[in-house]
Amino acid sequence: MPADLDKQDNFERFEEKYSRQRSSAVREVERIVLGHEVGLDGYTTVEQAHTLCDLFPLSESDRLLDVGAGRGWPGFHVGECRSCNLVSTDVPVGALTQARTAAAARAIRGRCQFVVADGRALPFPPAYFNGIVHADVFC
Amino acid sequence: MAGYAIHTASGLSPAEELRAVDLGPPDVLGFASPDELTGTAGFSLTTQQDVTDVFRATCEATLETREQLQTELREEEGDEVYEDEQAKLRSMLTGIAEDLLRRSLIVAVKP
Repeated sequence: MPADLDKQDNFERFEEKYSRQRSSAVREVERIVLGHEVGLDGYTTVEQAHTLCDLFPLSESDRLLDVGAGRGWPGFHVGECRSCNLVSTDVPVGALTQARTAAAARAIRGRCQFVVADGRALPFPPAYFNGIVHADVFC
Repeated sequence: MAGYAIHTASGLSPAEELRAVDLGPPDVLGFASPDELTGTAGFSLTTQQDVTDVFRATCEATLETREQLQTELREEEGDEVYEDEQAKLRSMLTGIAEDLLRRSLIVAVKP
């Protein structure tokens, strides 16, 4: 019972978090800490995102799944450096709404789809994706 | 499959595991090892590379920068959100310093 309540609290915390737009001060913190503004949700640095790119030998026709995408980082980066198709999934609608807005201004636009889905029950057939990327989701 | 995960150090006692969960990200209700996590998802772990040093540096830099910009942050996100975020970063840094929390690059494949 407590675990169920915690999960509900957790979900509400995520919903609340992603209902807020990132402020200019938060973006400035990101620029100072990372040297870039990437729409950071977790702790993945730019260099670590490059490492992920190197781990996915994908082509333009391939599909990459970003589980727990949040606002899109670092999945956008991997999708862009591989020029592949990207499907970003997460549970909070607010997260994907912000991700979709961010994608519209990036090279990934036109090759990115957004699906509200729990990583434990994804609505895709087996072997639909050629790669799966995640950051601070599996914990 | 490839990505980054925050997890507990291996070989912790039950009490240490509980403390690690308390000190870890508040969104996390429990931890499993990268091997368990990937196995549960139907994958087989092929690479686990510790990146805790970078994790610590990112948390420290974020904490310090947010302190420097706290006037603007408090104004834009409110005192409560500001304080919660600072407390979360301090807590995770404590977990790292006590050798309870780790962050790793994990790579896994379908068997």
